[in-house]
Amino acid sequence: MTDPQDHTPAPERATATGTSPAGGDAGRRAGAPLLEVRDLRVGFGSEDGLVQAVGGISYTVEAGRTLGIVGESGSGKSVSSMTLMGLTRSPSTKIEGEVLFEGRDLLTMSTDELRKVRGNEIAMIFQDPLSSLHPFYRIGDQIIEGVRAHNDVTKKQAKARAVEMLGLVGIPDPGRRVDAYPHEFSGGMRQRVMIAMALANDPKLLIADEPTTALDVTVQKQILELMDRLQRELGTAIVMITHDLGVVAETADDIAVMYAGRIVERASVHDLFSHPRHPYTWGLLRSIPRLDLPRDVELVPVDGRPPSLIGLPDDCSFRERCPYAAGCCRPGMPDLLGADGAPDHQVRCTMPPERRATIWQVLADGGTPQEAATKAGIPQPEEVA
Amino acid sequence: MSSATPDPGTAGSPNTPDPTTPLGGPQVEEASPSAGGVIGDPTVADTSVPAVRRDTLGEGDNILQVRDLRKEFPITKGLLFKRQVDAVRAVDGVSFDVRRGETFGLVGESGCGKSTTARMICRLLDPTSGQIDFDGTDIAGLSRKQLVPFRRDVQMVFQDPYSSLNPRQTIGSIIGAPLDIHGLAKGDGERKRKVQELMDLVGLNPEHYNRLPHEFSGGQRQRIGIARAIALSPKLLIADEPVSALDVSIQAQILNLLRRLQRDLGLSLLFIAHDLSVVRYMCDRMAVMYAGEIVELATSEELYANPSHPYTRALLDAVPTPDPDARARRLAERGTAAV
Amino acid sequence: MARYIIRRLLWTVVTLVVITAVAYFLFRVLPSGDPVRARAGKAPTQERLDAIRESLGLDNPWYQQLGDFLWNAAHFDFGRSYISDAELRPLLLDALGATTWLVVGAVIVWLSAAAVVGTISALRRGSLPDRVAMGGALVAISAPVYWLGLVALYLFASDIGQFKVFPGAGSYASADGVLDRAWAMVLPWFVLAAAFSAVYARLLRSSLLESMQEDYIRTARAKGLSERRVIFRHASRSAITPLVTALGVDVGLLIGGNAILTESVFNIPGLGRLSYDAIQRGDVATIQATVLFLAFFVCISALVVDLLYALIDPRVKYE
Repeated sequence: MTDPQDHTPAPERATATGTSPAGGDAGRRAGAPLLEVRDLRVGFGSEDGLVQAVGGISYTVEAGRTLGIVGESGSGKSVSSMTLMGLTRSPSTKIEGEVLFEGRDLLTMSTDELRKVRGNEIAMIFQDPLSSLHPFYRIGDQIIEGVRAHNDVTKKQAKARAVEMLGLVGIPDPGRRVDAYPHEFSGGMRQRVMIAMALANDPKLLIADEPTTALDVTVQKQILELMDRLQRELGTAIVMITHDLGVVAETADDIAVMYAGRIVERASVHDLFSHPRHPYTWGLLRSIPRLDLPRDVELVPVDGRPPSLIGLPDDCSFRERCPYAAGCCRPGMPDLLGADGAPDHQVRCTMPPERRATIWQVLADGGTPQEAATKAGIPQPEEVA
Repeated sequence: MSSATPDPGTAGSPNTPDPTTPLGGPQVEEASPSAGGVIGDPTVADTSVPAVRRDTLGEGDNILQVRDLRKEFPITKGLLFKRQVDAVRAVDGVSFDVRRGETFGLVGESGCGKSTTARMICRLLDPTSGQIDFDGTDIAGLSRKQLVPFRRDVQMVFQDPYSSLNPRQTIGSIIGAPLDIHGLAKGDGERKRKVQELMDLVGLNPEHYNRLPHEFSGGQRQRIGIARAIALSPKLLIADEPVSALDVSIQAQILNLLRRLQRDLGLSLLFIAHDLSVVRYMCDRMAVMYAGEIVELATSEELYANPSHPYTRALLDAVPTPDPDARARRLAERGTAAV
Repeated sequence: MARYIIRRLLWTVVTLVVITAVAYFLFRVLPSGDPVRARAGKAPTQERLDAIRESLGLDNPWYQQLGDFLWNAAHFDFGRSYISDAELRPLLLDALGATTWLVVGAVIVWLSAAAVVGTISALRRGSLPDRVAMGGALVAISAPVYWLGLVALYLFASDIGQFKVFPGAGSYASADGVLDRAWAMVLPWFVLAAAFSAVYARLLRSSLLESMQEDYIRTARAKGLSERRVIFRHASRSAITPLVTALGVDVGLLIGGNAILTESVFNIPGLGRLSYDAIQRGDVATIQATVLFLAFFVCISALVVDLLYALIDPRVKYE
């Protein structure tokens, strides 16, 4: 996460192992990452056929670090993370691949075994803190319940832990507020409660699924700062799932961009924003209004819409919307490969590197995709007025 | 950065409010910014007054002039019969103008009163007091019947494109409904022709005239909502969070569409959103609302370059930037500028 | 909270006074409504009519009569039957006792049945047990109570039944002691509860299915709670709210006299029977009294439901 006290350029931070003094060692074994996802596929049975929500993704998360997963709705970013927790298990769901958490495969665990991991070693917070907390129970009781599900402690000890956690996340007067109900808190305070609940058992990994999307922007800032502080104090690794490129830019060490159930680009936060390499990432970056750019730079929407996830062909899912596909694309699904000269920057696109550089140069200077394509020598279809 | 220590970028300024004081404190009901909107500490109050006055009101050719608009929701109490004991001031004396052909923005966080203001201007809500001069007529006090001609001139685009469309009506009849109500299309042929023109204008395939809303994606549904709203060539279009329910890459399609329509049709647009960067992109001038009041009103360039109200600064600071380096730069600049 | 209860009680009193007054006038203007003539026998003299009128207080001005009526009604004193001249209060209280017996037992039966069937159906949605239970529920809802009652008597009653297991019709009136009475009520309980069990099982199933979709259920699972705890502590607490609403209305109506079919089939001297007989005989005073009873119980159960809401859902705020 960005730290204004420490303006170290991002690449150095990205290569450093373990940003936190306390965290790096928690459950960390030499060389092995905390979480390793290998070729995860998740399909849901439906009347129209199998919906391939996640079509084979792989990534790793090191202890104490933050991976940002960015994507739009339907990209599979939430489904993949819920699957790690076993929350998508059902008779009609088809789950394949491996999810190694400290070397143990979460996908092959029985539900009972997995239950011991959930909320204990891996915790999760969600988008809407109001609907995610049970409206009928005191927040203290909801935290206590989670503590006692995994620890053999008395109710009193668990309550003391709840008060401690509420204090840690910045709830004023936690000794009294522990007995309050969710509706008695503001949105930001509720998300703090969710964070306190998630971190109560000292998890090694926190999955945050759009944790600030339902919040006001000033509250979002506070929550992101809180998560950053807690990460440094407790050494928790975070998977930050969001649609907001700004949020990942401010929080993540590494970023995976997802589209139609697959990762299309993966890089350190600095590389991704300074040298984005996938046409979809370009599209995202050019389609959001930004406060740090002049007002008159026209937004460039990504035309069209994401493909249906039923019967997805084994081919580049973005080709239909890609303005640069003509003349340089080969049929078939491109692999997620390291870019030339930057093996840690992976991209699922077969475009030649020099062409990629030319296009991004034009786009970064405010040019349109058409201008960029022309400069890169890509034939453009006749513009339909 | 730690939330325990103040942001080093802004801590240099003595006027900087602690954003946690009004926003994240231990208050129970956050959604009721009652009692006149106390912003930060009282010392900043004098800087806020010139901020609102910086852009003089009533200058130029205005399609809409809002003066001292208020909306109070009563709080009642009583054993058998309820009597009013207090009121929540949702909108507390708001004044601004929308010039002919411009896009004016209202930006603020949830519960700041921006949507209540919009609904009063449409007269979906009755104002408690104040003036709404629309094209020379004060419509704040008009009766339902007197409002009929005015309804045609002000149209609204809503946040959720799905729930604002009747799922059993075809697109053709949804977009054509305003034409029917105001008797603007004679016969089915003319109606269809007009509707298909509108569909083409907002980027929908006119051949989809007979489809139902569920056959369209979120972005296309919002296009339908826009086509319906501009069917009567309104003098003022009010867009209340028109893109906040849409995916990132779709948002730009709708924003650009609204910009193009505004330019091509000479629409006056009142654009309401919580997202500062979206409002900045869309609007020539904008007003920042907080707790029922306008705390700053300026051109978009000026507001971003020189935010004078501490709340505006807090808001600008809080917007995450999709550039890890720019953020560090920005914080550094702000830090030196404030000292 | 106390304030809220007081306010609700005050409103309940106002409602009841209005209902009582309306009932009073309604029955006064009915063609057969003159209580004096009803008592005076055939071809009475004018003096006799006047004497009766005076003894019933009917020569007083209307507002005084209404006042007396309200005052007496507040003490559950509804005067005497126009037909038998019996005092109505003990009659009503006896009938209320029998009806309460019937309804309370039936409520316990149908809630237990609905809890089991509804929960299993919801958790195994689409399975064979679910489809069988929901199909059976449809049958139970469609079966008329009197038909079901007669079938039950034909099968199980000790006098006329094929399998002489349970006491037959009319046995409640002659039963002594709590155990005997309960035994006599077994068949009526199940007959009355049958349709309600089905309705409540379906209600519970759908509201449980709905609450299992809530975000907080996902949170509960993400905390690592056992599925049993997720269902019985998190999902079911929110799922019972609609059942409480329905229960309030049903119990109020049943105690107020809507159990009339079951009471008739099994010859139970309850409120439903009492009002049915009164209507048959044109006994206006008794009809009036039973109508007020019904109104009273519906009002009270509505109040109880509202208070229960506050116990279930802390968001319900009473000022």
